Amino acid sequence: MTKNPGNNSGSNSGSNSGKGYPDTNNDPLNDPLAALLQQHWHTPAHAEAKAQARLIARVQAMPAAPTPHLLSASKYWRWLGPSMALAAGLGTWLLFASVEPSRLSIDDPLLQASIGESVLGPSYSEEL
Amino acid sequence: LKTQTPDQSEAHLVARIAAQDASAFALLIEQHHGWAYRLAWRICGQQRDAEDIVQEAFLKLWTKAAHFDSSRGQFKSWFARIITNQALDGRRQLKPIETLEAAYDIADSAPTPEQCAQHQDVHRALATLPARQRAALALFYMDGFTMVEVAALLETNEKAVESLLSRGRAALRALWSKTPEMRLQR
Repeated sequence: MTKNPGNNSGSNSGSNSGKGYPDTNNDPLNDPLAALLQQHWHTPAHAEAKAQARLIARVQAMPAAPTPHLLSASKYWRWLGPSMALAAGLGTWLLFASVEPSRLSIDDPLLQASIGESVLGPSYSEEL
Repeated sequence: LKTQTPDQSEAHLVARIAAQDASAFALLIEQHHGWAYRLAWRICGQQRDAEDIVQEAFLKLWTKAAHFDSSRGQFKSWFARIITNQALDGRRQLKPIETLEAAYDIADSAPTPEQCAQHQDVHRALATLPARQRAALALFYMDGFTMVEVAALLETNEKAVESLLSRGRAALRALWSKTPEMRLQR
């Protein structure tokens, strides 16, 4: 990726002509100082390779990140418990509300008979 | 077939990283680790610190990839800014620069004793410069960023970058003029 400063093609083209350089009298192409820097200012190749290998090892050792759709869903999980409790409560209420009030009336002879039989015994129901 | 420019493919890779795609992350590390490590090392002057800086920067990329906006510039500029900011962190600048570890990789180039001495002189001279001057020199001369880009990376203006580069060059010239190997070359 290292580019020659005197040959900045691509993104650097155009903006690096003339005033782009710090000293217009010293074009880096002909500047012995720039040439010297480019000749010597390098890391040993093995250091780079080792650093890259250690980075890759570290990345591979990272715990697997949750997938994005799970990550985005996780913020809804906190509402799961209250929502389920609310749904259960609503369901129970609907169940009781759906029972017709007339069937619970004490005036129902069938109900009275069954109550009498279970509480007072068969003799009471016969009296009824 | 659709062809992608490097910028488009990098933007695509970063988008995949934002979706936590580990294979895209590995590919981006392979493509950009080299220059990122060299930039960090040139600014901070320590191999271990350079490694830490680059690791932190890549891990930051893993978590903050969604913040990258390809319409605002290239990935390299965006990532170089992260590296530069971390390398210029005040806490790191308290450490002295290691000059001896920057010796030639003998197996690769088999330099002459004179080249070795010259190499060490260059590194010794660079070690005396303030970190921001080294950063400006590294970004401009070694990574090929323009003055405008260097100014943006260092969060300053072009005049200030010009001044950093001029002072850096003057300091290096002064130091090198004192060393016999450099006098011979000049």
